[in-house]
Amino acid sequence: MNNLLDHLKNKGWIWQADFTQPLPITTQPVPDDLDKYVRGGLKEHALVEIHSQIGIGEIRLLLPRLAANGQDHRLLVWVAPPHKINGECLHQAGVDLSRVLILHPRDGKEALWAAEQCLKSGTCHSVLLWHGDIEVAQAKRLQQACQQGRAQLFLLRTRQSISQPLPVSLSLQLEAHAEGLQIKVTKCRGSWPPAPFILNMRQRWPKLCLPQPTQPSANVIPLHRAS
Amino acid sequence: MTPLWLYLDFPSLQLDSLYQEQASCPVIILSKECNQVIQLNTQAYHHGVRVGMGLGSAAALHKDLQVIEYRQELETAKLAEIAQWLYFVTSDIAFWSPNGLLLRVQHMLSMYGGLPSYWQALKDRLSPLKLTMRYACGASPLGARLLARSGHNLISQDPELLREKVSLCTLEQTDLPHSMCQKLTRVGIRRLKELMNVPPGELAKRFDSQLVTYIGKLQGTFHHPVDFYHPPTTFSQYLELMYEIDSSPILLHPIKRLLNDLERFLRLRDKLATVLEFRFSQRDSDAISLTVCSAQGEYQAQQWQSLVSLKLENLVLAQPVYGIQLAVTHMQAKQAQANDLFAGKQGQMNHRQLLSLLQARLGTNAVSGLQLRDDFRPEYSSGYCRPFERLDKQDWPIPALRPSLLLAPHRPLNEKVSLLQGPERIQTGWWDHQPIDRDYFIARNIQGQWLWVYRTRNNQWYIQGLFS
Repeated sequence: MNNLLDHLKNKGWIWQADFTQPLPITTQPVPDDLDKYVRGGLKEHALVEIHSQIGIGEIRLLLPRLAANGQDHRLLVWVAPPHKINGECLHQAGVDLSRVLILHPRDGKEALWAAEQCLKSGTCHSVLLWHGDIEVAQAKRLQQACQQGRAQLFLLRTRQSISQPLPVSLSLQLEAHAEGLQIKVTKCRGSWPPAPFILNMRQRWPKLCLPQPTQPSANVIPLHRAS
Repeated sequence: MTPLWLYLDFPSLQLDSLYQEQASCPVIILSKECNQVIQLNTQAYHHGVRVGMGLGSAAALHKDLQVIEYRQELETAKLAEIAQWLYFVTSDIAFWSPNGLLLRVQHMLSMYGGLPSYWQALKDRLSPLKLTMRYACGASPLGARLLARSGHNLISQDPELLREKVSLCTLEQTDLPHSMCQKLTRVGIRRLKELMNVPPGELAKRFDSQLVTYIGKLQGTFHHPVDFYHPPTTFSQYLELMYEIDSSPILLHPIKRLLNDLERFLRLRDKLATVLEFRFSQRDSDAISLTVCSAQGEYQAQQWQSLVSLKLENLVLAQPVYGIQLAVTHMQAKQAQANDLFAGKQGQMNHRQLLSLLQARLGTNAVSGLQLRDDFRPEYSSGYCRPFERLDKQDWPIPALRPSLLLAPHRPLNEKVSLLQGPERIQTGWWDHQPIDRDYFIARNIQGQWLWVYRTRNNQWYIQGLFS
């Protein structure tokens, strides 16, 4: 019986309440938008996987977290972003641009290598990695590198892969929503994933939300069920 | 402090620097100018070959005699190598071309606590080189040289003894020209004693200035200027491989040896190297150059090794390599790095080391930083730059909400979107012939993507950014 338990524990298939290892961030903890919904918010998860269509607010979701992580003057690394990163936006969000590195690796293998080096060097607070297909073993390596270098990895994936789930701490699926983002947590290490919720971004990004409907639009014609 | 000099004479320097496997047969080094044997090994000696023989008579004594031409530049190079090697033990070294080294001893004695222990340290240092050596101390540079070349092998500090030994030397053993020796022999002078006992004034009356200067320098009454050796300031080393290598990962093993030498070189000087230049000599094509950079500067062989191995992964060898040259031209002084003691262990490296690592593998252009520029045109106001460039202006006003991702080139707007914010007119850039005249809007498409679109004067619509 004990053997079986040990086996399960070693494989990481069983979770025990006393097993959580929060990231030892030295700076003051900054509250997170996600704190209300997800246990530990974004900050206590080393490897966060985000499934999202591009351009619906996936980076805006992370920006407050990145700015807060950057208080210890370590580096923020963007690995293989799909488009050019705009410094103005990061500057607006309070990110120190002299502490930003952008890497353009030739292929996915190099991207993984670069992300791992950055994570385990201990000189980066966060790494954002765009990578299509990542394997379980690779994700485990990245997770270890995060622990080694006290860094956070945000893995951004555009298409939801059908393959087996990755051993990540937190996995989010983002959908566009009029008020901000609709977030479905598929995995949250340390607790049950909460029910899908809507993250209201109106306060942070008032210009990037649909105007609140004051009255039903005249264009909408209610359809009556044929009796 | 009485001056004391030590002269090391290497009579068969070129022979000693040859490969050892040739020692089984008789070898002679022949001087081309005078057609005389000037160096020979023990096998040649046993067959009756002697120094000063002509090539004909030497060749007649053994049929398999190996004859090697004397090359002075080889001996000079070897001598420089010995000097560099000895520099770890003693400070004042002077070359005496072509095959002698002169050491100034008196300043080293207090450090080593006496002549015997100093000599022991020198001998221990020299023994791995396996050189034939004659040596002697002397009160003057010429005296030490004279005693060493006459084979005294004398280590002593006693000025009386040294003077006596010098005075007993014959004129033929000195550096005086042959004609002068003959002239002196004719007047009955055979040994230096007879010249040294004459007061300098009397000597000057009877003989020419050359002899007077020689005797004065020999006795230490005249000043003898000496140029001391200074170790080279740059590192350059060539390694000839024992066998040819055609696979780039295997090259790392010989490179390790070079890097270890480099580490010792840098550590003694308390310097860091920032750029290493390798040259791989190839058999049938031009040499390949490989430059490895470290943004921070390194001296440790291990750190360099990991950077070099990343570079080697991308290196393709068309031809086998037979020699490696490592040159270091850029060096900088070591600087202390201030790390926060209370922030805990920061990992294995600092951010400049990380940058070197990334640049070594991905290429220098694949790693960039981010910078704001003083321009209203969105394609110029933010740009990629060299990593870690600091913004001069801390407070940089951003005119309005800007997207996090910028498309380059801009994509024509082909779908139905709803414009939610705007317009924001940007009309500028007339000064450098890339003017823009656009109205920017924030738009949302059916999939919920937030787009930054603009309309030109001709009513054409483009997407420039994503509010990701």
